[in-house]
Amino acid sequence: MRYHRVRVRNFRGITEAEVAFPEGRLLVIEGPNEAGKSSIVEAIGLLFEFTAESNSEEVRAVRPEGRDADPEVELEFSLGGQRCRYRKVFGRRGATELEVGLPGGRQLTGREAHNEAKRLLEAGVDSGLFRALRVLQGESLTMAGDLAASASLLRALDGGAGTDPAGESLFERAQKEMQRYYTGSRRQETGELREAREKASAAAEEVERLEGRLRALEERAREIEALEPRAVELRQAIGELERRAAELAEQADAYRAAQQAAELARTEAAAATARRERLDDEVKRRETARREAERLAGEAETARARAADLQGTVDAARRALAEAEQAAGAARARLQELERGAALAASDYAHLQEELQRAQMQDRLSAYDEAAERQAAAQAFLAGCRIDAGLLDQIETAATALARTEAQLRSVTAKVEVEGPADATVYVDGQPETLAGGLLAREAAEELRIELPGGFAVTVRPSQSQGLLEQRLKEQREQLDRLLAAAGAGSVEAARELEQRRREAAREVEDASRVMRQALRDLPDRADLAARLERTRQRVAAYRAEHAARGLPATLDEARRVSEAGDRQLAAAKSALREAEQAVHTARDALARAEREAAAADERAAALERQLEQARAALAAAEAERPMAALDADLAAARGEAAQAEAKLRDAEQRLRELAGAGAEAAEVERELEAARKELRSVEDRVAEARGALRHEGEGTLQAELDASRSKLEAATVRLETVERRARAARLLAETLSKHREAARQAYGPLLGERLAALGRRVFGDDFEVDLDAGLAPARRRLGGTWLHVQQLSVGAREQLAVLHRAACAAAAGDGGVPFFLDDALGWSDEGRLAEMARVLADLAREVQVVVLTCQPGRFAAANGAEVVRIDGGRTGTAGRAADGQAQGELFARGD
Amino acid sequence: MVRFLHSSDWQLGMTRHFLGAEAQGRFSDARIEAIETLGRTARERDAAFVVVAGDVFETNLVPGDVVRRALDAMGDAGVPFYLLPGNHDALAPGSVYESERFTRRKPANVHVLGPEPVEAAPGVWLAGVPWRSKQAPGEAEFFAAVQALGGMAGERVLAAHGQVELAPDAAVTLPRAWLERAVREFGIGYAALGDRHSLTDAGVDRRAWYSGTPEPTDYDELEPGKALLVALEGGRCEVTPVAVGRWRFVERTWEVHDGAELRAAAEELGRLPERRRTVLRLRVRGTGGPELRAAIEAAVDELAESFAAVEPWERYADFVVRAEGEGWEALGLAGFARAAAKELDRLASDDGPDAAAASDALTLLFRLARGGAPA
Repeated sequence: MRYHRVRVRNFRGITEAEVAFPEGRLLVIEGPNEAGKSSIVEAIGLLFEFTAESNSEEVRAVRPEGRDADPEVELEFSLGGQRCRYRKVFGRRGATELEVGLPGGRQLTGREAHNEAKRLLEAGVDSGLFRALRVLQGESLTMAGDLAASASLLRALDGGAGTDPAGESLFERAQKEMQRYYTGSRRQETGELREAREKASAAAEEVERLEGRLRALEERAREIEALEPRAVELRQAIGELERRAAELAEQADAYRAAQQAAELARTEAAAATARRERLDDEVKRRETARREAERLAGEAETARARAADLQGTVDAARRALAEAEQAAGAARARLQELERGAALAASDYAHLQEELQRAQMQDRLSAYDEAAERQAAAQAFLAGCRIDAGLLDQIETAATALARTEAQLRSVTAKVEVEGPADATVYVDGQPETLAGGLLAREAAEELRIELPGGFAVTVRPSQSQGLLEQRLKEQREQLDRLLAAAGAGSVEAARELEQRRREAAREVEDASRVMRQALRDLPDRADLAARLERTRQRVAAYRAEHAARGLPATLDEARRVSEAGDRQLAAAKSALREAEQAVHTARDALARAEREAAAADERAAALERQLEQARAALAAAEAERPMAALDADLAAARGEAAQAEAKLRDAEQRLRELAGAGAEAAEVERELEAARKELRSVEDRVAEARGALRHEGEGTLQAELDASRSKLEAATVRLETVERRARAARLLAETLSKHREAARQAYGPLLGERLAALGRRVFGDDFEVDLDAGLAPARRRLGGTWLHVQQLSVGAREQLAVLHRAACAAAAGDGGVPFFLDDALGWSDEGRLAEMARVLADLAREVQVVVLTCQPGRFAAANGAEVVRIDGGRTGTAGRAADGQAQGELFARGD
Repeated sequence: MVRFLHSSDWQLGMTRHFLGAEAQGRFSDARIEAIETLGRTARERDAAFVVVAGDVFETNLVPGDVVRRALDAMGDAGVPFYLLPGNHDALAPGSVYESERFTRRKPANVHVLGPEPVEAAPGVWLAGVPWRSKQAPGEAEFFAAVQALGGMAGERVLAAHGQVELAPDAAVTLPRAWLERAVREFGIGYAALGDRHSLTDAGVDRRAWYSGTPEPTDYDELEPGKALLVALEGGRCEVTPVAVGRWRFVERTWEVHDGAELRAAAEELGRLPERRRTVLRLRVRGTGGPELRAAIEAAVDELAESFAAVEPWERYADFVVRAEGEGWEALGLAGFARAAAKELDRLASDDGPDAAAASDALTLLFRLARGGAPA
């Protein structure tokens, strides 16, 4: 690719600018920072990457600041032998024009133009290389990495082959072809190969399954073949066994006859033995009966003797009973006598107690009468008495009031005291008074006139209050007198006494009533008490009269003593009677027992005698029926018969034993026959079943299925073989291509390295050498005999190496290469190196289009034949305006 | 004099799995038609009966329709057919001859041959040594039949099935010595043998023959498709092969190094008669560019349309694809692709284990490089 001319308008700070790229010469664009040098490179990038209508950030960023103008880029370039003009106005109503094959070539516009330009670029330019070699301002100059991805470079580096139109695409198609059959990394079968293999193995399995059925069928046939001889054998064996069985059947008849004879003999022997046993039993029974009769006789006799003994005992018991009864009678009489005495003593005691009661009742009656008398006197006093507690209170109250008034009167009454010589006389109200002890004292309750010797007189007159008090005193005295009169008392003292006496009389009445109640106790009235007393007195008198003959006990105590003594005797007599009665009872029991025993003994004796009689009768009857002698004879005969029968049975059994061998063999033959028939049935069944299965499958579709499945297997196998062949081929091709591609890659390193070294020797010196890594980037450098890794190099050296590396790549790519831009590069280089770099670049520019952007004029002066273009308008709008309608020379001053 | 036809190894119901369904149908039909041809030949040549020396059926499980068609064909022929059970259709349990599909439909002129002699034609006694299991009949069985036959007065024909000592590696089931005794001691006039599919003289005084199969079944059969017309008269035995079958199994090996050779070879095959009843197996040898190989493929595809079947030829191919030819040069391969092609070319012609794969890989490379769609 080669650029011829670029024109940029309204792009960042640039109003309009145009650069013509010289043919075969280095282009140096000089200008201060931000003058728009880099915008030129950027504009070319945008032209290819974005559509005119693009709203992307990159496009928006290049719109001129402060002006409503759409950026415009126009580029003339050659690509794939064709000269093209490509123009875009970026904006909402963007425009795209592409003219291919200048002059007068195809005209395209809009999206079509964009797509065609893109296609041309992709077809004619190595995008990897395009990106690797484009250098933009601000990016540090690192080594261009991963150049191995650059097809043009690789193609270019591909030693001597020139063009290779298949190249990578062949490799990729081969890979793709292999991947139809194998997975990417592990090379496992996939796709139609796997499918074909699976189908083949499924078909093989189906054939195997059907062949299995076929084998099973053949097995059936073999089974029949194996079984049929056995069936023949068995049939033969059955025939033989049946013949032997017939032979044995005759012997079996004889055996059955012997069995019957033995059975008969056994029955006869059993009958004879039974008869003999019966007779044996009869004889034994006779003997037993006889012995029993004897025993009964003995026992009856003994029983009779005992009964007699027991009758004696009964008599003795009777006598003892009579004696005991007599003793009991005596005891009873004594008791009766004592009981009579005791009763008399008790009545005496009662009598004396009644006497005592009579005396008590007498006392109670006297007490009653005396109390009644006292009560009557007291009641008589009370009847004449007029005072009572209330009246006395009134009298007391009146007396007190009177006394109080008197006291008040005394206190208001003037007291007159006359002192003078003893025995002097004075006249009081005309009455002389001697001054006893030299003093005369008077109260003047009423007007008082004291005349003293010497003619003196003193009159004392009571005050008005004194008069009132005296009036009240008079009334009170009258009141008291009235009350006393009512009480029948002459004075207050008498009234008090009278009241005292009244209270005592009342108490007397009460006391007498109490005494009277006590005397009566529970009795209703005195008459009753008197009546009782009278009756008691009469009874006591009567008892005394009745028992006057004998001396009664004097006192109650004595009577009690006599009574108690009697009681004791009575108790002793009762005890004696009980004992006597017990003795009677015992004697009676003994008698009854003796009588029972005697009766029992008698009964037993009688019973035994009856049994004896019966036994004797039975014996006699039996004997009469069959005399013992006859019986003995019969028994002897029966024994003989039994022995004979036994002998016959033994003979029969012997015969049976002799015939038993044949019977056992017959049974054995029968068993064998049964077993053989059973096996034959089983064999025949199995044969029939196997034949059935064979017939069934024979009439069925097994063979057809098998044929079909074999055909299918054959088809699947052929298919698998075909696919396997294809897969093997694809794999071999892909792997072989891959191997050689890899080998070629390894050869590129030295090739590019040699180009780089050639350039490097011009800058660094003759002993310069370089090694590239797998990505074809410089890894280390040798200079002055020392190898240094790129990272160890100085910034300047690293930058120089990076520029040379790009130069080498660009040069190596040849026609497939792209324009090579350096933007403010080599800033770290010293003058000597810089000058040499400039010369190298100038030489390189003969093969490849090289553009150097620099802000330092004259930096690349050493580049021979370079075309220098100067941008000096800066980024202001004036430069743009100044350019309007002017020749471009004003904007871009040409050097040289 | 008596004349009869000797055939064997019909193997009805045989499936050739490499045949397509249509071809298989015709193949099966042809084997029934062979029976008809036998019947017709018998009538034309005045043969008294047809004896089939074993393997009438491919298997005892042969489907009912095959049995039916065979019986129909024999019935229609109107000549007595004597069928001997062979190893494929042994008279074992489950035998087709005892099956309902055979016994219910068997025409009166069809007989299963046992060791008891039957008078197949006036004064002509026929007995067989049938197989009764997968085991070949033993000497005792063989001679039981021979002895019984020997006791008959007239012409004596024995039918037997098995391998006589002919091929050095074949397992012998019918020793020649037995046949010699049968002929020489028991006066057997002719032994009709089966089991070999090729028409063969068993080497016993020219009285013991394999008729071979009436329709071929494989490539390695010699003179198949025949029956033997046997004439016995007095002590004389005359044997005449007659053609019966129409199918052929043909193997061809092509030597191809250029288009001209290919064309010639293809034309030669295109001239073969009865191509639609011919099964072809091709072996292709030679070297050439991928284009030649593609041409071979196209030629074979064309032949396949004409022939009954062409077996997958790649199985037997020995054609080395080389990186050469005009088309190849036009590819202008360069760089690693060229190097890879060179290596494949070397592998293809080296006769190593990868030779075939390398040939195929070169073919593929050619196709891919030319931008053709992958196969």
